[in-house]
Amino acid sequence: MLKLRTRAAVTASVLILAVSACGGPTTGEVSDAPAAQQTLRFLTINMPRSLDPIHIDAQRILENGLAESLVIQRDDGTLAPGLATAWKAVEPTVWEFELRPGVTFWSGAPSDGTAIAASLDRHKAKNTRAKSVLADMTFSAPTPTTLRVTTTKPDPSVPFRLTTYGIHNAAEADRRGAAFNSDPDLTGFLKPTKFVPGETLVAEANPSYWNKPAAGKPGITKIEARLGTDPQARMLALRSGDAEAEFNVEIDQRLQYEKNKDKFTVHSPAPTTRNIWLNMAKVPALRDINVRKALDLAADRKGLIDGLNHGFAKPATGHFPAGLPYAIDAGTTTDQAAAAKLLDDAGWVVGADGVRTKDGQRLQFKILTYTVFQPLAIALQSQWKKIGVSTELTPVETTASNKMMLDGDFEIATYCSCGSATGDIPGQLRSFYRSGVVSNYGGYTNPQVDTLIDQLGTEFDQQKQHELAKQVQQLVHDDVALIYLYASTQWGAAYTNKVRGVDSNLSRRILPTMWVTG
Amino acid sequence: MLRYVLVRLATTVPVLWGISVVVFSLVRFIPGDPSHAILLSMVDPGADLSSLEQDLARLRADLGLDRPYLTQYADWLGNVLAGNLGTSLRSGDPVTDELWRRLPATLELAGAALVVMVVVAVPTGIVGAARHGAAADRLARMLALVGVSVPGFLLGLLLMYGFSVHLGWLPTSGHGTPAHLVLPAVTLGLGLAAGTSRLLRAGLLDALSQPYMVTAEAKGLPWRQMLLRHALRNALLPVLTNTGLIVGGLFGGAVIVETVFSWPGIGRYIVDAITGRDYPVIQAFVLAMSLMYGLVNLVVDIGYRFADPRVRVEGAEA
Repeated sequence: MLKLRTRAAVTASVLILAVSACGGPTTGEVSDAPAAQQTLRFLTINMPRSLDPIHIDAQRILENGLAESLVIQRDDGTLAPGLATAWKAVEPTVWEFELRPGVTFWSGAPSDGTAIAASLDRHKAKNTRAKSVLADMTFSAPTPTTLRVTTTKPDPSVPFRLTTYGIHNAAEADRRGAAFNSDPDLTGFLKPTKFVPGETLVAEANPSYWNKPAAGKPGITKIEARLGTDPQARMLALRSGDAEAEFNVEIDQRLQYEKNKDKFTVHSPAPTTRNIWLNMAKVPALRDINVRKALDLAADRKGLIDGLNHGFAKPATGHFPAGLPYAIDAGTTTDQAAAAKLLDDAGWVVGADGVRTKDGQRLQFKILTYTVFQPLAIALQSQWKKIGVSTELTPVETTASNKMMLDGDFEIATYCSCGSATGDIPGQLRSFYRSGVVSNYGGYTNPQVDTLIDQLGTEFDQQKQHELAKQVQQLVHDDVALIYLYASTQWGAAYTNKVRGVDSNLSRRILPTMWVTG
Repeated sequence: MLRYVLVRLATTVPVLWGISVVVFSLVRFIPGDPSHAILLSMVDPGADLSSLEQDLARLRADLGLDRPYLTQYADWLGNVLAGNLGTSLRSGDPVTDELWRRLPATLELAGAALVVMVVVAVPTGIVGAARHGAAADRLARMLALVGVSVPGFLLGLLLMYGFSVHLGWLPTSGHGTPAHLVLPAVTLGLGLAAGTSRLLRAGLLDALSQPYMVTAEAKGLPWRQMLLRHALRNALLPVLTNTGLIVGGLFGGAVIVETVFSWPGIGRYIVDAITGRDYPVIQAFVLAMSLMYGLVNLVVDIGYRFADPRVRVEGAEA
């Protein structure tokens, strides 16, 4: 017996020693790095699966500093120069972009007008997401520093539409073939040195970059990105010193970061408006404006913000989050008594079981919900019960919800298409509220709204565009096309306080002007 | 024996075919399809989706998903029989290559977890049986209960907090050095060790109460020899029977552990594939796992014949 115990103890000791020997400090790599060799290590759930910008899963390479677009969209929806320094509509159907001179691809080939036009043509032909967006555009280069974009009809959103397409050397892509997925020819300030699709990306400074930090100024010269799928594990990586940043901060982790402000900073992109979709096309009761208004009035926004969002949200004021120049201030104040009265007046009578009925029809709905929104659906279920509305949850996973929404296979849904800051105001409003558009999931229709959206789609004057956008929002708010609950941020970016130079309006973008302190 | 193995292998073929039909059909019955997953997975929340319907139709055609079900199945089965498991709808890469690329990481994790399991389960099982009812036994049972009860993701996060954040000994996630392997392997191994330890303890207690142990004791055999040579050998039989389940537990548990620790193995790959409705990947994975289970069970059955003479006798009589 004694020997057995001794062996067990020895085994345990060996295990502990082995564990200790395998480890060693994992922190301090960056703090010891001299300014000339600065490494930023970060975790994200959006690791690229290809470095070819036309690939469906390569979007993140724009934010990682590998690829560049013509125009950059900031977090607040405004546009900033990228490889184009200026742009203007010279005719209603012709836009001209002034290109940054002297930019070269990593191979040394010039990234001029002709190369950029070829790159966008390749996106148009091969990028699954670009085929519709760029279908209407023709690209040409009248001079080496000018890109001309011609559309078949007036389109004020052309610059915005070009924010997500990484410029690449299309001729080299054709030459390299499939190898371009891991060995692309781009213009970014970082060049990949190690790439495991979907897992790891190591990239180091591009010596011929057009916008290097001035001599003597610190700047990131290397990134080590890796996949981090679990939100808590990502936060623990920052706390342990395994990484300096993560780009998908969720509410629970944000709460913990905020408690340690001396160590971490969370940058939040502009919030999005969380809303509830009502399927008016399918559910007769939801065509009754009184029912929609009652559901809107009965939603306790403060309770949802405090209970589900730990206060990291604000009551919604309309489709777009408050603070944007094209947002309205028409939020709904919770009033359950008024909600109940609306239903009373509309003839919905409370039955013995507490559920209202009218002409034999029970006021009862199914709420389609998924993963992150399930707590929201449960909270609404409880709030609406108080006014005699019965609901039943239909929880599915995200992919299933996408199809069910598109098929109109829902009654009420906690689905996030959400109003958000954008450079394409007409596009976003069209997508949500234009009659007959497939992503107008609830089948909302109002001819006046349609007219305004069409007008918005051809309006180049920004002030007038904002005014039209406000009119649309007021109408859809009055119609309760959707129920706007609160504006909150999903996927904030967290940095340890060693990281400096973060642009809070490009919070998830790795910039050459960022650096890591000792 | 050879005939037995050949018969067992032959019966695996119709089973695999049945599984191929079931999995090919089931993945297509689940709501949501790859084109939705691909187009909607990374769009901004307020993106203009007004052309979504046309984009989906075009993508479905590009991916060949608009073809009749039987045509799709016949094409896929033909390719599988030719050794081609298809290409990922999302990445466009050959599924076989993707699985082979990730298999070493999963095997590395599974192997290390198996070592942890054995190192933990065998001593605690033996101590529990040898010291039946004593404090050591109660402690071992309590730890086993905790091990069975605590979900893998929670145990992983707790270990990460203790060994990475608090002590700073080990990295939180990633892959490439022995240090990266420790926490995932311990997380996966401890969960499996708990059940195995209880099984072994019960088997040992049963064996120790058998008349042949009384005989051995009467003959004056040392306690250690009685325990390790006679009782343990018999107690290992139910553990051996359980090997198929343990292998299942290893790969099932790897899905969770690989997710928490960002381990680049097959488990996480299949989770992504299911979420993204990447049909060829799901089909290939299920088929490969089915084949593996079949082979593991065959090996276990053969091993059992060697370990337990009664099985051989019954087999011979049959």
